[in-house]
Amino acid sequence: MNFTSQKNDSVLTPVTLLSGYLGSGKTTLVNYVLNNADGLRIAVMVNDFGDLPIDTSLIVAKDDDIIQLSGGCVCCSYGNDLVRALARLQDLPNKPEHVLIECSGVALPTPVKMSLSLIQGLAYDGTVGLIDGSQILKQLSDRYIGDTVARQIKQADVLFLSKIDKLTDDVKQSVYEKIGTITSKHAVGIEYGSVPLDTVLSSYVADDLSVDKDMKFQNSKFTHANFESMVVRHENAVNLTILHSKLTSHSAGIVRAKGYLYADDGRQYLMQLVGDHCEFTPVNKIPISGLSENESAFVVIGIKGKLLMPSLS
Amino acid sequence: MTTIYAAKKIYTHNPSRPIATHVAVKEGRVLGVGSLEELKAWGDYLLDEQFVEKIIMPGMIEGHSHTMEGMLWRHAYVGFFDRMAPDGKVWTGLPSKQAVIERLCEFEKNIKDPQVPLTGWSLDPIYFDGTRFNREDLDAVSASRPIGVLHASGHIMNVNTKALELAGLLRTGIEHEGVPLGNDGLPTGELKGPDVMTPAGLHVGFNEDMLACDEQGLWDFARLAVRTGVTTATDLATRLSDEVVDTALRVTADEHYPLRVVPLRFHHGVTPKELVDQVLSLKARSTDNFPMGRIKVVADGSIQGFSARLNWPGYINGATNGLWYIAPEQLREIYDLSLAYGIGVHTHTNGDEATDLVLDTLEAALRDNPSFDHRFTIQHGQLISQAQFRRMSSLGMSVNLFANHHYYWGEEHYMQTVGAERALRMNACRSALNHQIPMAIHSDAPITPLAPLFTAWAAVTRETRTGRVQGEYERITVAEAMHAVTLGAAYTLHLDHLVGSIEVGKFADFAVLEDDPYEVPIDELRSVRVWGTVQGGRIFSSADM
Ligand SMILES: [Zn+2]
Repeated sequence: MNFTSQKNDSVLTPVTLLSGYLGSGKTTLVNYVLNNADGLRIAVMVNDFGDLPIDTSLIVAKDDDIIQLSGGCVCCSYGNDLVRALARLQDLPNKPEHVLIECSGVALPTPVKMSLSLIQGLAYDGTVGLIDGSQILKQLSDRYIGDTVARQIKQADVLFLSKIDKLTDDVKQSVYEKIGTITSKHAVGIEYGSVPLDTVLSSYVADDLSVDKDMKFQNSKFTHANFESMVVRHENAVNLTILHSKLTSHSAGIVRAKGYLYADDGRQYLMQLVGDHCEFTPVNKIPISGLSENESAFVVIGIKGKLLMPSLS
Repeated sequence: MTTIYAAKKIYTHNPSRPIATHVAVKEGRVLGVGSLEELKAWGDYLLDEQFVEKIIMPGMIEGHSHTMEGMLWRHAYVGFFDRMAPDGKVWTGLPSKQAVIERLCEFEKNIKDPQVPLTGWSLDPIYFDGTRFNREDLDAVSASRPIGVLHASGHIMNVNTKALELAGLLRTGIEHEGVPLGNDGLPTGELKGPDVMTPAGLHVGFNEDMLACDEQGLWDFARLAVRTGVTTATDLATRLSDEVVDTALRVTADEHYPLRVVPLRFHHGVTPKELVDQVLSLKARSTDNFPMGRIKVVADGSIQGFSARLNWPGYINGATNGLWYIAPEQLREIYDLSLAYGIGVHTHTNGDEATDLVLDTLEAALRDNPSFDHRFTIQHGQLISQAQFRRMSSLGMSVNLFANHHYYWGEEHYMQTVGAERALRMNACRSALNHQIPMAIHSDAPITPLAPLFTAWAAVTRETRTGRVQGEYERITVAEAMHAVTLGAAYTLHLDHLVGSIEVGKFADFAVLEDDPYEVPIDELRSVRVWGTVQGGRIFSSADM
């Protein structure tokens, strides 16, 4: 749990990390996100330009360091110097609205996450971990990369399992069991990189919270067989510590949550949660119409059938 | 025209004529070695007797160095050990924090422009009983000028408050294990690891690409080489950008440039296919003084940084196993392509697990790409075990061991990283030779000083800096060490037909010494005086550098 000191949240650019071993489907996911960017200016950062992970059809122009993609998105390389590449992005005339960093196959996401705090204006937006369902059992028992892959899984906030369509039910079962020994998070099966974008990028989490009062399910902007979302409204002040532990408890099945809180310290906060990572940023005014001063409202996105909203009182 | 040099004694490292008094040189090559009478048969000659009181041996070859050492010497040296600069001045080692601050102050006084940063290098607080530096210490040198001091390991930097401010790091809210915070929540000024150092480094006088050497740096590096008897040195990890290649080709072609620089293309940043393509096309642009066409792969991190990949039982303090810097699949692809195209690959491993990965990968790659003279080399290989040496031998591998490491950090390994038993087998030269593995030994300059005679001494004695012998069994003889710093290194680079011995047809590359390394008491091997070198038949005296 973190309390951000910056008051003005609107200037922070969210940064999502994409982690996973070779072949886990990071490139496919990046392309899916870019093809469905829907006007959001996304900057994709890759470790090198060697294996350009971008559909050539998306490329509009190539400069030295930055490749212009359709829809105002860009792709750039960071080599050994992620921090300066991120700083350079901040100076672009058309500053990106969201940054997606594709970590190298053997990289651990936590050090990359730590690097983000070296630059002002960025907000960590979670680590999306990809697992190659067809290889994971072999990878985890590999004497060289087993511990690296396990650490990647442990450090992810949201987990996706790719390439499971050809697995038998028995194997699938062992895969889930094995992952369960590493993390308490559910790994959600995906096909061809197709994921609801609001699970990957908080920028897509709907901020239209002016819906029903009592925790009614609503359709996510992005429908997906394995996810569902709901809007939560609450009338009395909430205790942030208690809320945090409830939202991140294994049984809640929550992948992301975003919204505004009226806390029991009398202040109002923007809450952004992904996996175990939660930021509370004080705000002067809750920018939602129809919400009274001591009310809280937020969206939660979770795994279908597992999403439970624990009572806030 | 033929020149015949007379010397007190010439050690040729050619077994069929190991010792001679005269060497004839023509067109930059050795025309013959023997007595004056024998050499006269080649016809007209000029007898040069300036070395008649000196010892000549093959020019020494540093098989693992980085030319960036040449660039560091424009900054303040603040290391613990005495160290010779390119101009020959020996900077005394600094025994305390106070002494470091004083030297920085001296340098500070000489920089007129208040905007220009003050840069120091080779700091190693490990020798000051763990006293750390913080930004206030450096603020005492100057509060207005940015200051950065690189540690000897190359992995940590200390900066002052001004530098933190310029780097945008003088604020609260930083959560990074490489940025320790003080009680005020602000960084203390110690920056650990490349992702923190690089952005701050730009404000304190370091390059964007710290591996890229500029023109002045190449000259200064070469001046150090002449002073230490080196005529060939590797630049062991460079990205070989067009600019770096153009500069290096131009500088090394200068008629007064005294060094062969052998660059190895660092694997990072391109796909294996692109790496091999680039190296192949560069190979075609090679010159005698800048032979390209080799690859350097980094497999794991360092032992003292706890980032090396170790086999069971791991680090003695229980630290989590280290990091891979390449995926096994990528390593395999680089090996496959390099074997197929005849490119030499040198792979950095420190931990024994990383060495196992290299052995497994090469064994599989060789099955698909049979290759009889690949000479793939493990660089550092600090923890190679007996069983691994046996496999290396079967697979036709070479090794370049970090003999200097023992002297500088042997005590730390014994106490803090791998414990006593494995510390005894680190940098195991005797074992490598017992298994008939072609072997070089190295300094990894600038990590430790470029000075093959010192490196030879370190391999012969295995003394740590406290004078304790660590791993007596792994000591080698003077002759073996002298071979390692000449032909041994040449072999790992596929250059042993051109350099490494004084032999007809090879380049006239000699080290000219005042003392006889084979005759001095062993403890004086490290301080054998170097007069200078002959490189490609051209004479370079240390005194002129
Ligand atoms: Zn090195």
